[in-house]
Order: sequence, then structure tokens, then C-alpha cells
Amino acid sequence: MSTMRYRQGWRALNRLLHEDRSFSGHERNCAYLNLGNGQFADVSAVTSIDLPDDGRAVAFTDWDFDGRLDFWVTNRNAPRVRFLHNRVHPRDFLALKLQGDGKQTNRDAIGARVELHLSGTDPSKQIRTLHAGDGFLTQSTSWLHFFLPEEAEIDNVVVRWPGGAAETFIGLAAGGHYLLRQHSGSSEKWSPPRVNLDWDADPASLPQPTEEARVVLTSRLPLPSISYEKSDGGSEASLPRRGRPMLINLWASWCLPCLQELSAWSKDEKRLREAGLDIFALNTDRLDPDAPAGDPNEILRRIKFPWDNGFAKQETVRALDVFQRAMLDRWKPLPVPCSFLIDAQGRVAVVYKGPVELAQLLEDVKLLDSTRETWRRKAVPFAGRWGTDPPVTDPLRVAIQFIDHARVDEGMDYLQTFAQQARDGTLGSGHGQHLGDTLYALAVLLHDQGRSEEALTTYEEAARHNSDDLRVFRDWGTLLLEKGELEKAREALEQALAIRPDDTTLLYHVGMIHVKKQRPTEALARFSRLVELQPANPLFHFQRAEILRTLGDMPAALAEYRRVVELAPQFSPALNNLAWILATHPDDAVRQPQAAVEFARRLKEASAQLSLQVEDTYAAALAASGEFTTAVETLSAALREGAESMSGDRVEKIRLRLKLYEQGQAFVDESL
Amino acid sequence: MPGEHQAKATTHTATVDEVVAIAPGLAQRDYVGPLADAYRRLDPTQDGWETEAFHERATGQLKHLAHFLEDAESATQEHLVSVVAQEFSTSGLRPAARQTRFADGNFVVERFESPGEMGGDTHHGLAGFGNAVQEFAALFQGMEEVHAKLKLYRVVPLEDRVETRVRCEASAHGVEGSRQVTATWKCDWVLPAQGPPLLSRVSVLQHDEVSYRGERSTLFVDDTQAILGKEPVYREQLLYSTDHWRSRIPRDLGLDVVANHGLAIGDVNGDGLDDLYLCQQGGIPNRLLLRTADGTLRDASAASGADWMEYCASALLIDLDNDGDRDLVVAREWRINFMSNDGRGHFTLQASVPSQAQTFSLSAADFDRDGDLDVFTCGYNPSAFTVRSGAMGEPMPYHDANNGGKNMLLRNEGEWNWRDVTVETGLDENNTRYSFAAAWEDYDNDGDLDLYVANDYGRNNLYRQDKGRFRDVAAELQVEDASSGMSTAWGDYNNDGWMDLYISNMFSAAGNRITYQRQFKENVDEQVRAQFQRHARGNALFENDGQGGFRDVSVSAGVTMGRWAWGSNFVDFNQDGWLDLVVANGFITTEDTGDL
Repeated sequence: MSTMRYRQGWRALNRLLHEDRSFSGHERNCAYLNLGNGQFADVSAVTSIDLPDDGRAVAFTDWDFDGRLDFWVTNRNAPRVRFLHNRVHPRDFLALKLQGDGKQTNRDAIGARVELHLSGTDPSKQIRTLHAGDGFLTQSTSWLHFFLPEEAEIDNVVVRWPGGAAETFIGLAAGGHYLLRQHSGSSEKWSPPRVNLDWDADPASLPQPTEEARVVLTSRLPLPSISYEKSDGGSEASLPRRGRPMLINLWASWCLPCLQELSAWSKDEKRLREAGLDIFALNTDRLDPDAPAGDPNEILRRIKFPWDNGFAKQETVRALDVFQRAMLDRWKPLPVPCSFLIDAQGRVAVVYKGPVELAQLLEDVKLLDSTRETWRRKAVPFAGRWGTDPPVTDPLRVAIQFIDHARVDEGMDYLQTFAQQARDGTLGSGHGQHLGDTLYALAVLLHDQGRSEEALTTYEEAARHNSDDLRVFRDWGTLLLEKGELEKAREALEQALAIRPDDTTLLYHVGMIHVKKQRPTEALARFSRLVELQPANPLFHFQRAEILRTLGDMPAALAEYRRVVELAPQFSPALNNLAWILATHPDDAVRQPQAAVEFARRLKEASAQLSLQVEDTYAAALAASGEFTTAVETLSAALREGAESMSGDRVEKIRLRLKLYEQGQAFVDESL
Repeated sequence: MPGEHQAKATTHTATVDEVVAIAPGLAQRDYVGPLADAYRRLDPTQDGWETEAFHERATGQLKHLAHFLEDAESATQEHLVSVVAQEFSTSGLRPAARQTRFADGNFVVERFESPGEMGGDTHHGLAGFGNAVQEFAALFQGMEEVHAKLKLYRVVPLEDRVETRVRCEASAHGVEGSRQVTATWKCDWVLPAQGPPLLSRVSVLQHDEVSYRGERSTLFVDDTQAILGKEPVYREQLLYSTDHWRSRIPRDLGLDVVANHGLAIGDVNGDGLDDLYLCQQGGIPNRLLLRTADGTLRDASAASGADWMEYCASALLIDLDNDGDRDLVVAREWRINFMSNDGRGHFTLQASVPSQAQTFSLSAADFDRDGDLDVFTCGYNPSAFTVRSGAMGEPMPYHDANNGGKNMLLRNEGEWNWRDVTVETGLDENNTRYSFAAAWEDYDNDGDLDLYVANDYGRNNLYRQDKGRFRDVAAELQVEDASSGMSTAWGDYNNDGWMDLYISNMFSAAGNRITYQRQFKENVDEQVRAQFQRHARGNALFENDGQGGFRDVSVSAGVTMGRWAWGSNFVDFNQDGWLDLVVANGFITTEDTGDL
């Protein structure tokens, strides 16, 4: 349960991040100055590193070859990249570029350790290693920069080439750029080009954020069921799920851009009809009691709106909103106007947040019958190279949005409809791959709702589509197990095991089914494997001991019980069974009365409450070691207090044992 | 007969089953359940955190105080009365007993460290507070852009007052230079019968004052415009926030809110000048920007063949075939793409290796010293999350997660063949964490390269190499740094000839407040509490002791505060031969001002 609570919390947090909530935002980047005495000082503000960007990667390079290290930084937010120009008072530097021989040492000499030896200063050595990939998501320049304290003189530079020997370079002077080639022993001076940049240019201003967006979907899913109130008097209706291309539009009578686009479409009705597009306008006035009053029907009459229309309900807007959230990573509320372009199969092709021009609409109608590659190409703002096939969106996305907002029924309805359309083949190609997953999700939801018969048939259908899907067989088998259909459960779980042979949960369930069905040999195989997989798990050893006992291999069973209580000294059933067998076994070679008393004492210590059952075991052990008086006292007292807690015939057996002890005889359990 | 006793075993089944049932199948389960209850728990003031409720109210007061520091004139009696208690006292906000600890011609650093709680308060009442503010603000006289921020990060409720720790940051810029104060204050508050808490005492525990003078008023100047201003890619793509694209491009194409996209610098066309390769989210092409002789950058993405549209986190420009030009490795969500360079910046895809995980950082080294470069990849979400289940994965357990994606060491076998040698080299040890970054270094100066890996949600790895075999010695050397590792870098910060280690984590003010509270995880042992507290401490600096071990000097060096830190590294930005540190940070900034 705490795991579920944690997972829900984690998910809820994730969702807030989708909803534009700041989280450790407005934080300022930091810089620390090394004071040379083991301490640093915060210099974030005076360096102006303290930008409030959501910084990610920081790379270094000396862009203008003045020896000072400049930064390139990437950000989550705008601008995505910044060049931070180092304008400290310049000091003496030495810039080195290495070149390996490409045989012993990689050509870039990455991993080379360079030592700068100085005189006239302490410490007299500085070291740098050439890295490719450090910090976070970053590769910095492969020039290595050293800086010289005042009074310092360069003695030489030693390069420890990876894969090669160390090599000493001399003749290097402060302020220079040098190329050091492996095996050359001498440095080559390199002259950087003159940099001619307008350093005083004003930074670019960031574009103003806008809510308006045209979102071309790269993969099309059916719209959820859209219900509305009819414009004539408020009776309920639903939009057809497929048929002809349609633009569903949300508008409000107080919204000027809404009226402008409705009016523009009405004027060009003919072109839209020729393009094969119907419009369905849904007015949202009734959802907002604070909105200025208007008469939507009158407005539509006035602009001669020629298409069907109605009033949006809460459910209408929620279904549209849920859908757009499922398609986008950033979840902003739907604005008015907004429109959804639906293709003839009832799938959403384009979402418009804000108004859409007629020309754009006509162009997008042409997109309805194009290929998946075209959809993806139109979905992105810049051209580039793809390495993958266009994605096919998982309908679970939509269902999860409903479920997260406690609309489980609507989520299930969406999945049911999707599954039906996918079976019918009315969704077009590509969606088959999600049918099995959809059925699985449905089955899990039905299972959770206690509709186990429907869940079982749905698991079965899911298994036909996803024959290699562990989850389906595992959860199907688990439900059958809950329903007590052990053999069917075992078949499903065995199929799951075929997919993941060493899954401990599955092995355990199958093993326990064999136990219950009294197939100890099969059960033993499963628990022996479990013990191999998790040698420190006492439960697996215990089950193995129980099976061995059933099979009559008492020495092996005892060894396993002992293993259990080594691993888990408080494991009462094992302590009990150990004590019992060691006290009452018919075979003298097996019986060990002293050890039995010891385990029975531990059992008593481990038991939160002393029960008749525990005392029965203890008394048997005492009796076996000849301590009849104590055995009788213990058992008599326990019978007085706890006889009601046990069934009559078991109590009767205990009374018989008590009589034996009173006569100075130990009890022998012939059933062992 | 023992069969009768078997009934009890079922109770044990329940406990042990929890142990065996958690890991398998978890990743595949997409449906969790309605979230209404979880949303309620996310609001700390509603979740029974008494100090969080206090924090909300005190933070409002600290905003007023920060405003007084920025504009001392506004600290009038009538404004102060609702923020400062009548019985207020302090010995001053700008300690006089500062010592100059550093001066290099660019920076002057003065430091005050309180030997203990200061007595002998000299400023009393509202007027005393006003004077203390005046003394503090005098530091910034004649300067502009005065900025002050006060952040509450520790709360201890006592009978008659609430004791808190507050971090004070104040700065200003002038024509000739800039100044800043970074201080730690102990602030006491009294709770009046009505209204917000009132500040009753300030005691400065630590105070750093830095003055800077350089060519410009600050050390760095944002000169992006000079380099990229004329490039359309900058204006049309790079000036827009990730959030802009997240509301326009379907998420199926690989966009998320965290947007971990990096860059590589290297000369791809052999002109001796550093070029830039920028990784981008899905639906937006990666960009290759070539440097011209005059210093500007020009877009060469389309012609490069490396303008990948899928989600790419990071890349390296390195010579993989030793032919003298820089080839390209790109971490593309679930694959690693290797591309060869024709020497002029045109790349051809030569190999694409499935990564078993969403890959973040890459780090290259010739670990086996056979003369060619091998590549280590950092796996975060395991590939079982075939649908992105949210940007942050789902770590289990949070403070020591062990269900992350696999890292890989890909050995360069020549001819663009790559072999996964993770297992045979020993790097599969402790390899189920959420890894963000890695860096190679010969930390023990024995001539071969070792590897440090920074992991989110738990312990890091230090793999020591001995003749091609790696062993995780992080626990043994006490450099696990159990926290939220985001980045890692090596550098000899104390110039003793041994490489030291810096790691980015999350400093969380909220985490510091909550995890030090009694009610935080009441039913767990001290060790787990300590782990959570460590999680919120911040960045770590481990000093190499030169004898094969490390000392954690993070606190004494004063470098833990990196906020929600991402990229960080050693860099000598003031050119004095001592490596400084830089930290990029901030998780998610939106227009929303109330921060989660």
C-alpha cells in the first residue's frame, strides 16, 4: 500500500510539472572562486553567472583566443543557449592542443595527463587531464588551458600519453598557443585567427510567449465520445463517431475572435463544402455564469452560420481537454476559440488553440488523406533527419487522463470503443499494435472493479494479441488464482514463466498451486529453483521443507527447517514444525528431545501470544525429554485458557496427549 | 500433525511476498489509480508539516526584509512594524570583524565567521533594525541593480519562539565593478496572537563580501548576440523555450518538461576552430553550428547529416577511427548513434547500438589503452519504459533507487564495430541506478583510467580500474555521496598533483526543513533519515588524499550550495592557477511564482 501511495504521489507530482508549475524554478546559477587555501567564495552575482535560467550543460572554450575561458551554456527555457564571455583582467596563460599518433594513443589524445612544471612559485606543478564528456551532457574544448601565477616561469610540460610513454616538451612561453604532437618532442606554435565580433551588440529580446498554436498530430487517435445539448431546447445528443471530415469548434458569444472566424467560415461555406468539411460549433456560454450574456442562437442566425451547432456541457469540454492533454506534453487549459479537425474515420488530425484562418483550414483538410510520414513532417517546425518510423500513439494516454481525474468509466469507455474500432479495422493501419495493450489495460481496470468474468474474457483476448506479454499472463493467472481456478491459473502462470523463467513471484504461485493440488514433486522443482534464486529467503526454504516432509524425506526436511530459522530466527511455523518433529517422530534416529525443547522455547519467545497450539508443541517436547510434570502443568493451564479457540476434535486430541503425559508417556506422531 | 500448524504460514507469505513482488512487473504497470488523494498530499501545508505552514508565512516576511535591504529608505517605522518585533535586537547585519581572505586584482574576498552565537546586541527595537539595514545597504551605495534574497532553510519551533536559518544573498552592479554578500543568519521569530511571525533577533553566523573589478562590471558578459545574432536558427529555434515547443509538437515525438539537452565542442571541419553541436528535444533538429574565422557561427545542420529529429540528450565530437577528424557519437533516447566525419563536417551513420535505457551523458576514453576511444553511456530510465512515463522515471525506493537503466561501456573494436563490455570489465556492478553523468580520470595516479558515475536518487559509483577490470570502490572509499547526482567532474583544485572530485546534487531548502523535523518518516530508523537529509545537502567536493582515498570537504570548502544543480565543473575563470567551480541549476521555471 505504501508503494501504491508513493507511486500515486510521484505521478501527481509529474502531472503538476506538465501543468506549468514551477519546481525549484527561478534559481540562479552559481560560481565559486577558489581562494587557494582549501576554501571557496560564492561569486555568482559579481561574475553575473547568476542568471535565473534553468541551466543544464556548461562547456568551456576560449572563443576569442585571449586565454580566458568563455562558457557555452544550454538551458531548458529561453534562450536555449548562451555564450558567456569572460572579461576578467587577463593574466598569463598557456594553451595546449595535443595530438596522439593514432596508433598507441588515440588521435585526440583524450585521457592524456599534462603536467606543467614551474619555477619561482609554489606549488610548482599544475596538472590537467584532457576529458571528452564530463560535467553533465557536455564536451568542452580540447584545448588545455594553464594559468601562471605571478613570478612563475615555465620549466617544461610533461605529457603522459594514454597507451604511450611520457614525453617532455620545452620551449613554451606564456601567452602562446601550442600544438604538441606525440613523439615529436617539440612544440609547434599556433597562431589563432583575429576575432572580429561586435561585442557590444545588445542581447536579443526573447519572443513573447503565446497560447495560440496549431498542433498537427503525428499519429491519429479517435476523439472520445462528445455529447452536447441541442441548440433547440437542450435535449442531449452525441456527435457521430465517424463519417465525414469535421471541424469541431468551441466558441463563446463574448469572444470576438470566435465570432470573426465563425463569420469568415460562413461566408466561404461553399469552399468548405467543396473541400468536404462540415463544421460543428459548440457554444460554451452556459459553462461560465460570469460571462457577459449573449444569445448564441441569435448570433449564429445573424452571421448565417449554415452548419450544425449546439451547447457544450462540462463533459464536452472535458473530453476535448483530456484529448489535447493526452497529445501534448504541456497541459494548458483549452482556450476559446479552439477547434479540432477530425478525419472521416473519426480521428483527430489537427488541434487549433486560438482562431484558424480559412486558408490554413483548407490546406489542412488536404492533409487528412495523406500518409503517416506527411503527418509527422507537418507536425514539426523545422526539417531534419529522422532515424525512426513515425510513432503510433497509445490510446491508453487518453484513458489515463480520464482515470487520473477519477473518470474511470469514461476512460474505460474510450478503451472499449478503441478496441472495437481496432477490431473492425476502421482506424486505419498501425493501430493493431496497441490492441493487445488496450485490452490488457481494460482487463486490469475490470479486475480492479471486481468485474472478474469480463476481466477474464478480456485477459484471454489480450493474450491472443500479446502472446509474448508477461503482464497479461501474470495478471490473468493472478485473477484465476483469486477465483480459486487453480489449474487454469497454473496454465496462465506457466505461460508467463515461459516468458520470464526466473520470476520469483510466478514460481512461488505455481509452486503453491502444485502444493495445494498435492503434486509434491512438481512443487519441489519450483521451490528448489526459488531457493537457488534467493538463497536467503526463508519462506522459500520453509515451503521446500514442507514439501520434503510430505514426501517423507525427513532428514532433508529437517535440514531445510533449520535453514529457515537460521535465516529468520523468529519464523514460528518452522520453529513449531522443527520442535514437533524432533519431539514426536516415531523413528528414534530422528527424534532429538533436547533440541525439540530448545526450538519449542524459541517458538514461545517468538509468539506474540501464547496459544494452545504453541503450548501443545512445547508440552510434546517436554514430554519427549521426560519432563512430564512440567508438560502436564503447561498443557493443563493452556487447555483451561484456550480450549475455545480450537476445534473440538483437535482439543480432544490434545486432551488425549495430556493423559499420556499424566501417565508418564511421551507422544509419538505416527502420521509422520 | 505439523500440518495443523501450517495455517500460520500465510501471515509470513504476506510479508515475504512484499519483498519478492515489488520489482518484477512494476515497470510495465501503467495504470496507478485516481490521483485526487495524492494531489492533496503534495501540498505540504495540508500534509501536516507544521514547519511548512510556518515557512509559508515567514517567507512572506522575508520578502519584505529583502526589500528593506534593497531599499533602506523603505525601512520606515510604519513598514517595519508588521515585520519586525518591538523587542528586536541584533549586533548588526554587516559584521565589522571581517578578514580579507583573497585579493588578486580582480576579486577581493572578505570573510567573517562567527565563533559561536554572538552576544552583546547593539541594535534594539524597530529603530535599531532600521540602522542595521542602513549599515548593510551602505555597501551598495551608488550602485545599481541592487538585489537581495533571503531564503529560509531550517526551522526549529521552540516554546517561546521559532529559530530559523536563513541564507542571505545580496548584490549590486556599478560602472566599475560589482559587489555581493553571501551570509548565513540565525533568525528568531515570535508568533503574535494574530498575523504573521515577527522577526525578533538576527545573529550573523557567516558573512562573505566580494568585490569585483575587471574589464566590465561583471566577469562574464552575455555576448551570444555577437556570435549568433545573424543566424536564423538562433532567432527561430534557440530563442524559444522548451515549453513553447511542448505546446505545439505532439509529445510522441519526444519532448519532456525537464529538457536535458547538452552540447559538444570540437573542430569538425579541420580549420583549427571550435565548432558547436547542440542536442535538442524530439521534433526539433539537433544543430551543427560551424565557426567562421571572424568568430560567428553559421548553421550547417542540414548538410551535416547529423540534424537528428529524435530526442537527443548528449553528443561527443571525437576521432573514433583515428583518421584525423572528429567523428560524432549521439545519445538518442534509446540508441547510441556513431557517425563518421568526411573531414568537412559531413557525417555518415556507421553504427547504431541499442542502449537498454534512456541515455544521458556520454564519456569517452581509451580505457584499455589499445589506441582507440571507447565510450561509456549513462542509462537513466530503463527501456521497460517504452512509453515515457514522465520525465523523472519512477525511482524505487526514492532515496536509494535500484530500478534504473543500465550503463554501458562500448569498446571500439575497429571498423565501426562496438562491443558491449560492461559485464566482462566489471562495470555491471551496482549498475541499476538512474545515471546522469560520468567522468574518466586516473584518480590514483597508477596510469590507468578510473570512472566516477553520478546517479540520481541514491548512491554513486567509483569504478577503480586494475588492468582492464573495474571494481566499484565508492562505498569503501566513502564517496558514494548518496544524493541526487546530476553531474561529475575531476580537477586538482588544491594543486597537490592528485585529482579531486566535484558532484552536482540538489540543495533543497524544503528538504532541509522537512527532513530535520521529527514527524518526517517517524517510523524509520535514523540511518534512513540521515540518508534523506544528505539528499538535501547539496553538491559535494571530495578531496583526494593522495593515498588512494578521499576526504569529504564539501562543507568546509563552502561549495554545497548549488541549488537544483545540473552541469558543474572545475574551471579557472580568474586565471590564477587555481581551479574555480561553476554550477548551472534550476529545475523548472514557469510564470508560476509559487514554487513546488
